[in-house]
Amino acid sequence: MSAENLLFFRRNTYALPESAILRVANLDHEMRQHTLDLQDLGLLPDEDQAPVRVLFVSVGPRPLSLIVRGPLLTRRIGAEGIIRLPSAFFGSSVFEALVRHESDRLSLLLAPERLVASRSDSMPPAPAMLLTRSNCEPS
Amino acid sequence: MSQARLLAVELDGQPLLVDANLVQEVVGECSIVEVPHVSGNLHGIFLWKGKAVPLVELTNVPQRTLDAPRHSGQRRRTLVFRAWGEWAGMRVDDATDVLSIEARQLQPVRHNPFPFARYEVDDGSTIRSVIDLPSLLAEVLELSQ
Repeated sequence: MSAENLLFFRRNTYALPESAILRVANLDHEMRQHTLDLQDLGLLPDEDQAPVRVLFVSVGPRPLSLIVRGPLLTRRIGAEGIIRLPSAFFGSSVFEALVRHESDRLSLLLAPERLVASRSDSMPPAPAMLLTRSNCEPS
Repeated sequence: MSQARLLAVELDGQPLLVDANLVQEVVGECSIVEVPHVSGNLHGIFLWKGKAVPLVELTNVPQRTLDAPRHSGQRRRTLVFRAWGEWAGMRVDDATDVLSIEARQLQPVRHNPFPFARYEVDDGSTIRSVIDLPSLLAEVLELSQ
């Protein structure tokens, strides 16, 4: 695993590779109907109330839009700070590594493709109109 | 096996023994990252020598005495052990010494039949259960598959 830019959320509990984030937007009413909360995916719920953002995670044919609350932080983490989880234990989970910060705090790195795959079929996919490149200017 | 090397540990007031040959290191209290989606005896992950090591928990251990300290979320010692080719950790309240036990002293479980107790050792004053760490780990691995 090489150095990566990671986007941290839920008070640094979780991280996603920035390369998998197609877009970050402020939540609006239209998006709300199509987005998932962390707990919809079995993750620890957000404790913060605001700001409320939507992460568009683009992996495979069914991208995911995910509501997160609180500050977002992007950091470049060197390869030595990304510690792969043993697959015998965590191979089928949505996590793939621990991320060690300089402060020795630890975060869980989500595997985007597993996160997207973990969504049950009853959950709504992000509509294409919200994900098109023309709609992906920084918010 | 004529003689077994067993590490004496304590968990919720219960004196226990584990195979010392499996234990690589006894470290202090660890910072644990809890992982959603896992259940049963797999409690979380901690960092050890640059590795992400899963932490397994021995649950449902009956208290030996009413005034024994009960699990409060923090334990003073973490055993780092290896079985089935995998590293794992288990938290205990204390780890004291390594005992050499004759094979004939390993008795069938009669007094403390809790999960993963393989044998009992009675030294005349204390009955200690011998915990089968590979079986504990095997159950966790099966749960996560």
